[in-house]
Amino acid sequence: MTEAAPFHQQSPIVFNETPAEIEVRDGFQVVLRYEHEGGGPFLVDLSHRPKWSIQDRQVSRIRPYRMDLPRVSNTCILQNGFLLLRLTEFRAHVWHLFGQSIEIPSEFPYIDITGGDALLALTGRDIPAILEKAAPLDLWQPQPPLPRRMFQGPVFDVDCILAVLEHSPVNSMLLLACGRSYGQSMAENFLGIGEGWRLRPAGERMFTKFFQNQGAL
Amino acid sequence: MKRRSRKRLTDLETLRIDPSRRVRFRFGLRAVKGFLGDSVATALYGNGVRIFSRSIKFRRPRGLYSLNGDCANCLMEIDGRPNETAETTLLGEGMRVRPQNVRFSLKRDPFGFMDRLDWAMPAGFHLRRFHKPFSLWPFFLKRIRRAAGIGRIAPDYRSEELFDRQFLQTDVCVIGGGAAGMSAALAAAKSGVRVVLLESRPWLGGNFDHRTGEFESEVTLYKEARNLAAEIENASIRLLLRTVAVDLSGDGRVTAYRMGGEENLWDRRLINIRCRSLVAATGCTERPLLFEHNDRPGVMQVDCAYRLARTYGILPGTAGVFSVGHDEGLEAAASLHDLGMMVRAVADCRTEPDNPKLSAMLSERNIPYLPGWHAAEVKGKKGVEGVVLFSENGGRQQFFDCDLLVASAGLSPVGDPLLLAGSELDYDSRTGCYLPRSVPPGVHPAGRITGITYPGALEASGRLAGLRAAEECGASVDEALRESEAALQECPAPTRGCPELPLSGKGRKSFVCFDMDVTVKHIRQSVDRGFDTAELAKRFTGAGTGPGQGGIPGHNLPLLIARFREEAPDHTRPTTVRPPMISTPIPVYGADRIRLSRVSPVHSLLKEAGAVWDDSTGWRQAAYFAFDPAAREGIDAVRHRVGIMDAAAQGKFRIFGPDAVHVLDRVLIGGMSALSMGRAKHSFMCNRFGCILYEAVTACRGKDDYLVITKPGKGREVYQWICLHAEKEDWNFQIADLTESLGAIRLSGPSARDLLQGITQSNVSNPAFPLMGFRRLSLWDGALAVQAVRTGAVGEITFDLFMPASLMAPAWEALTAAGGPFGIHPYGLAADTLLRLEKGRFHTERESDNRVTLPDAGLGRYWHRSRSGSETIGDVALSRTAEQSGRMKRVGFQMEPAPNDGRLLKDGAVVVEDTIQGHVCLTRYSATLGEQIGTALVAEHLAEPGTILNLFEHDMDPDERRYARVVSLPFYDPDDSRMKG
Repeated sequence: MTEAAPFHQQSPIVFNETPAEIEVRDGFQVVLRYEHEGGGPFLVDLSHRPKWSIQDRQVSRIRPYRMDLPRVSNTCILQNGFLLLRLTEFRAHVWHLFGQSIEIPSEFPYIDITGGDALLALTGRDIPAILEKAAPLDLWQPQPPLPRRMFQGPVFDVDCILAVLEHSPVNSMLLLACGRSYGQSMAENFLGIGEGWRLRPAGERMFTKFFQNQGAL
Repeated sequence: MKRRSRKRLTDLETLRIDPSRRVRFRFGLRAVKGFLGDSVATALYGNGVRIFSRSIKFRRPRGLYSLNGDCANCLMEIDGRPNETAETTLLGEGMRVRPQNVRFSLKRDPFGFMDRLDWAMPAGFHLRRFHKPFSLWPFFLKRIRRAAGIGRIAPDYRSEELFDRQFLQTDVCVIGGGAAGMSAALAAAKSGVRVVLLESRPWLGGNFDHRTGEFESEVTLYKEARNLAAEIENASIRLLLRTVAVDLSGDGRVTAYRMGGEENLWDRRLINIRCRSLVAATGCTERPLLFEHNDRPGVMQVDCAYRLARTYGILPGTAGVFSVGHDEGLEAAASLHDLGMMVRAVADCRTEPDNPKLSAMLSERNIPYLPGWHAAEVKGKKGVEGVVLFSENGGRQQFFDCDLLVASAGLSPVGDPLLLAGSELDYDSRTGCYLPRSVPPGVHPAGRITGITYPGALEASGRLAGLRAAEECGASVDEALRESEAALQECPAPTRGCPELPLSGKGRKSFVCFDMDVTVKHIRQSVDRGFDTAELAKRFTGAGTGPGQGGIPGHNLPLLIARFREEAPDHTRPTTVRPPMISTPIPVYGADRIRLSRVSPVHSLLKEAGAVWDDSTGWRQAAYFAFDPAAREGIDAVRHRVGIMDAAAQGKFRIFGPDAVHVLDRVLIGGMSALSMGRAKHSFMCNRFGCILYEAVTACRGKDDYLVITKPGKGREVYQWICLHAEKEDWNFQIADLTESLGAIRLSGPSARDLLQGITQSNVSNPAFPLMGFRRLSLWDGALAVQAVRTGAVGEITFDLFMPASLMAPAWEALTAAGGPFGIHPYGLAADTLLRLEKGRFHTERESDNRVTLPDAGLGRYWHRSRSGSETIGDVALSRTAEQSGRMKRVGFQMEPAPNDGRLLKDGAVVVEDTIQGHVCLTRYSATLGEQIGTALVAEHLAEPGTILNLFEHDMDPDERRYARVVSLPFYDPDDSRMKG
């Protein structure tokens, strides 16, 4: 039998930048920091973070890692490093954004979609202005404290799931998930339209730093 | 030119130019200067230019008329772009401006004689002349277009402008930054809702901005405008200057077009606005006064003359006559007199002004005021040399020597946004205007658009509209609303307009529409010929169909029609408004339109291998490799060695749960209940008419657990189709779209099994892994786990390997390396299509339409008829049509040798006898078989093998035919020994 090199999982997104720090995690080579990341705004590839889809007739009864899913469709909750998103009456997503590797629950309704979705974080002051060139969605309306609103709608005419985690005059944080196949061109086009605001790729550390500053971690 | 050029007024508080900053530009060959803040038209006017263009039909000289871009008079070529509106284009350093639609010079155009041939061009002449004999029409059409063209673009012109697109979300969108619009925006913003304010000019203020009339004691109108603008800047209002609404709908969608400035990274931007409530405060335009030669350079509207002086510091003439129909005209006459212009007389088509103070102001300045008089004719060939005024009944006339005639019949509300939003306009006899009658919910008119003109009422009306809009967005404004309603009610009633459209003479040179050279006489001819509504007259004469749309004919057209029909104006309506409301460059609509391609996880590897792409399925798939469009290398590999194909674009679903099989039986025609674990089945999805929609391979992964694989690019459709037909049932199942999560690689060819066996310890021999089998395989000692389905799509041993998409690229590389000794070669869609054709496979996209049922396509064997209680979609229709005669049939054919034309027949050729009897679905040259083969849908009597088909393509001579012989399918390996091997 022929031998093969070890298989590393590949993110759908590759930035044309030089990584300064890399970590191998769950088979992915995760870029923690790029050289010359600049002062923001930033585009961070989080496609390697575990993501699960949950489908059930009574999805509210399911409690991933003993956390309650949001009761209302198009809302989300950030809790213990997880973002719990309620898509429809029967569907929810769980994005594990921070923390150590975690196994997908082996119960019936969980489906691993980590490799199927590209997940991007956009963070910085000018993110609303950049998104105005990409998405006809009312992302920045005043948010209720909890649960937060999430959005299912087009970005560059592609169906995406979006969650606004932070919006203030000085800083905004938006997470955007789309089909894996769109990931690379989605990222490239964001960098294209964000050029005027100096949007640049950043490593995962920029994402976690944002939440450390917020005291969420 | 130099004669009229004079010093600008530089010390006015109302100026919007910066007299300390010169801007240099070129007009034709001449270097000229303007000031920062000038528009191209005002800079030219300030340099003495009076003729800006020549008219489209009669080649009459045309000059500055409205300053708002309402007509084509000031369309010019600016920096190589034709048809730019010089009135609204901000002057830029180094601009190159050229007049258009002119030969030799603006003053002396050799085609000027056309003006004397107006008798030969009555209304609708282009619809009646030159059409007999019809063969000559193209000849004349070409010449008419050449004579009448407005602007030319160089074939090698490349725009250096940057176009951009923006999506805005807001609660209240206010269109118009005049007094009413600003008041509305402020009132709404103070109530806490988000507000976007659109203003077409580079500054706020609207009609107040240049006016020196009194707003209230010791506050002039322009100062009030400045105060409101300052408040706007300090409020949390998103202000978009130089932005015009071009389209809107009653459900809160507004499309706007914005011009950029030096501070922007773009030049022109299309803005899609979503709002919950809309305030239309678009104000009024002036209704042109109709008299002989009303289009002469030197005739202009009140607002134009007033703004030229007060905003741009240019006195429009040395001696002027005013013929007006509203109070602003009297105010402008007094103001221009104060700035140094001689005002010979002010004729007012009304019997008295609304504000008596204004007539007193004229008396104080010794300006003759003539109530009940109006302009009847302008004297002068290339400009105004004098004006003849008529009294109301035409009984008396006076002549005035002058170089400027400021003319206006009154005001016309700009109701276009309301009409687009679904409102209707009705004639209002008090104001003499068409005013909004009914307004759809969520739309609030404010200001002069509602007929009011009193300055205090404009602001009150704006405040009220803003509060109502905010209330619709959930703001609590009850008390403020009550106060605003009371404030508006206390304001004076709308002023009286001109009682009747003043008209004198036959109207041979009284222009209703400048853009299309339509005169009063033309409108009369149109009515006489039975085209006696505004809509019909518009089409027959062309009035309002030029670049300025209905800007100049506007409300004059329905009023004229009413007059010629001897009816009251309330029997007619203005013409329909269609977007865009103003001329918008076409590239703006394609601005920054980003369409993302779906790419496979091995996209970069395929690119390195020289893939040429096919985007037809929505995925960027490799069509062929390395400049081999015939894909012979790939085909050769599949037929003799092993080929590798990127199959990630296939739709992939996992359907699982106790009722999963019911779902499959509902949509798949093949009877899935019999599918056992480890087996796969090829089947089809039909619509309720039995016509083929999709094909799928379904593999049973485990108990009540299925993997469904569909054609590339069909994943989303199939997912929706399944959900649509299962949602109403009380079935316990889950469906997961794994199209993106699973990568897929197809290995095909006689060596595919050997290759696979070399990298797995599982037994993949024919008995252990038969055709249409499903296995979970561990490759490379557990380094990669895949799900494998063995199919026979291309007629060879084929394995579809499914693995996590994130591992597909390394898997591809490892398989390519492992396949090296077997001569592995990548192949793409071109090879796949031909390989499938050789095997006689059904091509869903090319061979199915709304007529082809499963049996028609020769696929009746896939229909599982014996299910009990089945409700499979299409089952009933298939039962009824299975034995029906006279249906189209799918057949295979081989081309007969062509006598002298060696070219290949193309897809879509028709099968003919006396009539069309079918068409070619798919045809290719097969190097494997050494001949051109294909499939066709033909009438039943032509479906017998051996029948000769007569084929015709659109580019053949009418009597020419190609011939093909019907043969049995498949063309290749009829006993399936290779794929079963």
